[in-house]
Amino acid sequence: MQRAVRHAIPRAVFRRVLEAIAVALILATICFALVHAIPGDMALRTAVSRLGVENTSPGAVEQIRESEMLSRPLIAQYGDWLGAVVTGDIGRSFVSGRPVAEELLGASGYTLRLAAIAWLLSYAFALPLGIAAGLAPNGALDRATALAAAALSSLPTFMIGIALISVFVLSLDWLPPAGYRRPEHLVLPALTLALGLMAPSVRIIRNAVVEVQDASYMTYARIRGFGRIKAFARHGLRNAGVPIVTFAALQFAYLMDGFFVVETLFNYPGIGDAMVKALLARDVPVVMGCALLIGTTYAGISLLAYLICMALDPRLVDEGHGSR
Amino acid sequence: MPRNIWLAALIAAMFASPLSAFAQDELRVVEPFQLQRLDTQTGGFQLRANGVTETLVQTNPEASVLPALAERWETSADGLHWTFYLRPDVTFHDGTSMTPETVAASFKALLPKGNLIKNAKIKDVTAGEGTVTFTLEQPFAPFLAYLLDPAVPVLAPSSFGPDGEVTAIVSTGPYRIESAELPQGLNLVRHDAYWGEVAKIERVRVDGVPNPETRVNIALAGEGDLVLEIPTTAIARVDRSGEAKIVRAPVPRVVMMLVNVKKPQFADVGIRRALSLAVNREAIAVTVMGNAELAANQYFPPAMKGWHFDDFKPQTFNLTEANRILEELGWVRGADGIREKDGIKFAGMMQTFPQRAYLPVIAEALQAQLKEIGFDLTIQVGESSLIPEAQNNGTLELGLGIRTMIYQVPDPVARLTTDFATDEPSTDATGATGWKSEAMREAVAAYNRTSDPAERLPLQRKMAEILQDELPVIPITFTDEKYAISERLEGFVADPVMQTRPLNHLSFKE
Repeated sequence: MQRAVRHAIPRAVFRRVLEAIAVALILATICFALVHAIPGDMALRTAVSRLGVENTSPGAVEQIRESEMLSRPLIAQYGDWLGAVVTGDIGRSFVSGRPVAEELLGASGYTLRLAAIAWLLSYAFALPLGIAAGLAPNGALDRATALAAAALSSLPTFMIGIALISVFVLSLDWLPPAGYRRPEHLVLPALTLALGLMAPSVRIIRNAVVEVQDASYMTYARIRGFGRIKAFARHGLRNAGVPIVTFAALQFAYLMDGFFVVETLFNYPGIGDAMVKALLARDVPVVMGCALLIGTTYAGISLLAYLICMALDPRLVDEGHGSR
Repeated sequence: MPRNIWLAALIAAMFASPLSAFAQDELRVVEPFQLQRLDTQTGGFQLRANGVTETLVQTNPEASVLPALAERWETSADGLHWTFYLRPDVTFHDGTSMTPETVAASFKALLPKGNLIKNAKIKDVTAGEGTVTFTLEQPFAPFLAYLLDPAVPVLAPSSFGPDGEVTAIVSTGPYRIESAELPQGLNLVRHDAYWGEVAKIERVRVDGVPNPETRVNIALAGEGDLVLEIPTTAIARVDRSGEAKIVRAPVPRVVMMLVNVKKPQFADVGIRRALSLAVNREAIAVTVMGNAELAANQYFPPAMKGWHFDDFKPQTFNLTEANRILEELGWVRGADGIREKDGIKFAGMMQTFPQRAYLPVIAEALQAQLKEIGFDLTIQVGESSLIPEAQNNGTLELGLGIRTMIYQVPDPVARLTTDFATDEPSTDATGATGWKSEAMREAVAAYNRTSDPAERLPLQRKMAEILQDELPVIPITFTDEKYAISERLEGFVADPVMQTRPLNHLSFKE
């Protein structure tokens, strides 16, 4: 079994890396097509974003059109970008003039910090609540978490953010409303994302626990004399972990969606904020850089989840998951 | 154990460096603009407004031009040579002295990047004995005002790289840039060797926060000392918060309806007059802008002396008169109440943008008001650049935009030129569409030839009259600037001409 795992892992990593590259390129290509499909003059939009609406002259627009070579056929622009990406150069921002890699590195640092805290915070609440609800299905806690999860899931992220601002900033005066310079600036954006993440997580964890509780190996463990908690800790936790890890990886998509809203609301300079501004400014190199980053990160997280699942349940390798 | 060390290092790295310390004694300025590049062409206005850059002259609240880095100036008899006598003992932020040579070199490097100053057609800049002389291609009377183009300040030689490009902003203002976190903000520190009033507050943090509600929350939480552009809807909340007070200052900015006079339903000046008479400006000024006095009955606001004329016939709300004009012109109401003439519907789509939160609201008010005279108005809210695009490709019907009349250059003629007296394509949501007036062009040209106030006044009246009579744009309301000033700050005086916010005059209460 151990040997099979050792052989399977490199194959899986290789396959996922190829997938990551493909996903990132497809995503960037779609973004390129979509940005250009939006009606309007690219050079004018870029000039307005760079100089401000009251400071944009016809000369400035033409200068940008020429310097960024926006008059060329789209296929040539795309081909040049692709050629540059192969050499590791993802271009310069039309608006700021800085290398896209440099901009994304700065923004992704902020986003990574926010994501990590939000994710940890959500599971710090979701894991104990989900397990407790799963160990006593249809009990008071189970019903209460079901209700809370339904309520939180139905609220859009910005509503959760505004509600938290109303309570913790405007009423209690405990936390700052926006910014990124102090550690406390992270609390509200992270909590906003965490509450959104937590709602479905609690139910997934609860269902995984209920399923494991009904499994024959758990019945066997109980017959051997283990109590419910001990039996679950020794045999159930590992088995319940596989769907939870898979779901946690899938939540990255929700998290990305949340970044767009939360980073704008809290004036937090992460990837979501950068991408929203780049889309409004038609800053194509930044939009495509973001797409590459999001695509590869998603594939990376998916790979990580896959490896954790194989470690939790080596039968997955036996079933051929690693060699496909 | 080693695994734990790695984990600890990772967590420490995540929370370490970028979260810089917050100084309680720093002045926190929150503005709606984010500085995209640290150069004068992109961020010139913010750099000057926050006291970083300066030039030879400055303005006072009446928009008069006063000495700054130049103590005085003189013009040659033919109006082609302007000589400025430099203030002695001026030190750049890097500690070097300002000399005629450094000033001339700075202008030579930055003039090609200038915006409105290009209209002055500067041929050469030369350094003399304590002086700098500009040679123009032709006499240009408002040269002093155009010299205030914020894209062309005076920068030290250390601002420029080997290729002549701006690599740093080293100027002479009361604050110097300590560090820049673009596009989020700037960290400024006092320039102790400043030639004028040295700043009382040592450090300034300028944050760009585009979302108006976030700026309001910052003001309500007491997290900003000077917060710009507070929406009207939040004024009472901020005033009640106990953290900040609202200071309102009229600014030379008009909200106006842009009309494409090439469209048949707007071609006749009588139709534009009827549309103007159907607008209840007072109601819009009270309900949307929170101040009845902001109703715009002519293009220039009352504060602009010499441009606003009390004896102009006001564009007063008068539905009966508006309907009478339309009947007379042959526009007949259909079964649905919408007028028609020769198969042309009395209708139009108004494009506007949400960056100024009041614009979509005013558009909706106009939609309801114009329906009373049988006009079918539809609204499209998009990016601000959509309006000039539509102007240039001829598809614009109506637009709702703003114009800050003395933005950047403290002479309204700079903007009148680009908005109403040029054949160049429009690049912002401000100018006339399909309208051309030789009389306006002649008045602008005559104004540019003379600096005599007595000669200029009738020309100013002429320009204002043309706009009032021909309505190439229909003024709706003026705006005021609403600043949230923290309770701990004192000394703030709003600059009505929006050229600067003199941070060096501010202090914290004891």
